[in-house]
Amino acid sequence: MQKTDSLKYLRILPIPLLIGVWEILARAGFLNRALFPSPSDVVLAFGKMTLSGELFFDIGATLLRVFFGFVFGSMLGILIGVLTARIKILDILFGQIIQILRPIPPIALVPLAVVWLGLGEFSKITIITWGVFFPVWVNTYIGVAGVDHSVIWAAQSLGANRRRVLFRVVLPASFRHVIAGMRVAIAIAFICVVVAEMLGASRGLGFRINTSYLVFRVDKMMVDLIMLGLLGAITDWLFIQSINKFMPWYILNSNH
Amino acid sequence: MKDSQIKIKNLTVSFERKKITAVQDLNLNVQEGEFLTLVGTTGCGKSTILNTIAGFVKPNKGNVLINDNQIFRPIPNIGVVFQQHALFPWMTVLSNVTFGPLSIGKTKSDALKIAEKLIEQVGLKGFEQAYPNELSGGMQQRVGLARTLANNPDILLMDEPFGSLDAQTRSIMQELLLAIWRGTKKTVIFVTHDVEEAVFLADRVIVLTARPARIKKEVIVNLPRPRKFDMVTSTNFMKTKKEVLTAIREETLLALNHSNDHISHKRS
Repeated sequence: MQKTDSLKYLRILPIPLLIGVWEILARAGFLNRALFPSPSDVVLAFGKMTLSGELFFDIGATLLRVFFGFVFGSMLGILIGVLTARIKILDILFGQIIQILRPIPPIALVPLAVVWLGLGEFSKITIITWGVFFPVWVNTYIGVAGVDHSVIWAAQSLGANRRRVLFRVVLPASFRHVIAGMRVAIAIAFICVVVAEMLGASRGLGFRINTSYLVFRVDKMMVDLIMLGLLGAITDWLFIQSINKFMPWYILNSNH
Repeated sequence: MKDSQIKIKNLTVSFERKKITAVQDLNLNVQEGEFLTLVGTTGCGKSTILNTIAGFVKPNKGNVLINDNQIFRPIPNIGVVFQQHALFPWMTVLSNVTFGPLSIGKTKSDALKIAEKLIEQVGLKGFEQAYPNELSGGMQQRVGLARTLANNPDILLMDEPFGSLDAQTRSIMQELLLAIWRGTKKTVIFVTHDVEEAVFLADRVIVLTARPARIKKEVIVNLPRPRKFDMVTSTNFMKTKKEVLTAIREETLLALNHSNDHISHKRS
């Protein structure tokens, strides 16, 4: 017990060490402080950005876009994933198109989205939806197509109709894959939102990083970058927590 | 003599993708309330026969009649207990057992009543809120049995349900099954590759040929009911077991020779 505790501290140790060394190097004049702001400069910038309200304004804008894009993209991905995996004719009709569109990096579509859909929220959410859709679709498809036939047979022989087999058996049985797809999608959603905001927005963390770059405020850039990292981690953590809460059997099956 | 409850006529099942004929021209009648076991070498098509009776697999030729009605799809009157329990891991034990009654239109309170009674009967009282993966293999199979019995089917199809259990648990499960069968007089078709299990449980043992499955031998088991675990050492049991073992061994050797021929053909 004690041993694992001390190991745990060892794991965190490099972080304050790195920050300390960085601070000393910056203050001692070894580093150009405009290019490499010291940790205390970053904390100072964080304080100012918080007080002016700018930071939360940007975080709010970014999170809203991620939220809607993630929800729409996941819903579409699950819906079409289930349909293409369960209904062969739909798979034949649309499977190829989706496969061709899938390798296009969603980021490369940002200019097209701006041209077609403008600079408003709609184009940004569309980009995120697009990015989220594919991993969710692919994983849902694999999950649904791979459901062990014996649980489906069991449900059928117990008298379940098609709807009940789908909602009570096929979907829960493929949940492990759907969840995996959605976790990948969270990371993609953040990538998409930042790029979309950089190419045209009036608020949001991506927009702020870009303007900080234009006016050479590396300290502010750092604050926004750290925020992006934290938001991504927190979102993923919340996602997993809510899964564990609402689907206790999920954790029981995954041995961790 | 009474008309048979299950009639299998000229049943042929093949799998196109693997180019395998699993069952060929099988004829078999099963009486109501009979306990029948099917034994054969591994991969001989035992499970396919069961899956066809259950309505999961469509025959290429022939048919299966239950009370003179042809089977086209799974029906709740035919209960199936699976080899790997096939429980729903996302449902509690209770929800697993109420799934059947709720599927066939029973009210929630009726389904709960049925489930609670069966869970107690299989000795799992107190585990209603547990998830299947929290249970041992023997307990999982008890849940599987309770889930299947919840619809009160007239026919029970069991596909090596105790195959993955240790010897002690298996023996206890066999006695539990026989106790339930004695109390309900359901028709049971039980697939196994364990000869001792087949003889211990059955009124009649059907030995199948190596693939494609046909009937090789039929052995009537003349042992008194209720069966007790120590009967397996009686001379009568031994005699019956030997009869079944001999028939299976012949088939296993035939199957081995056949695959050897196959290999040498390929080499030449």
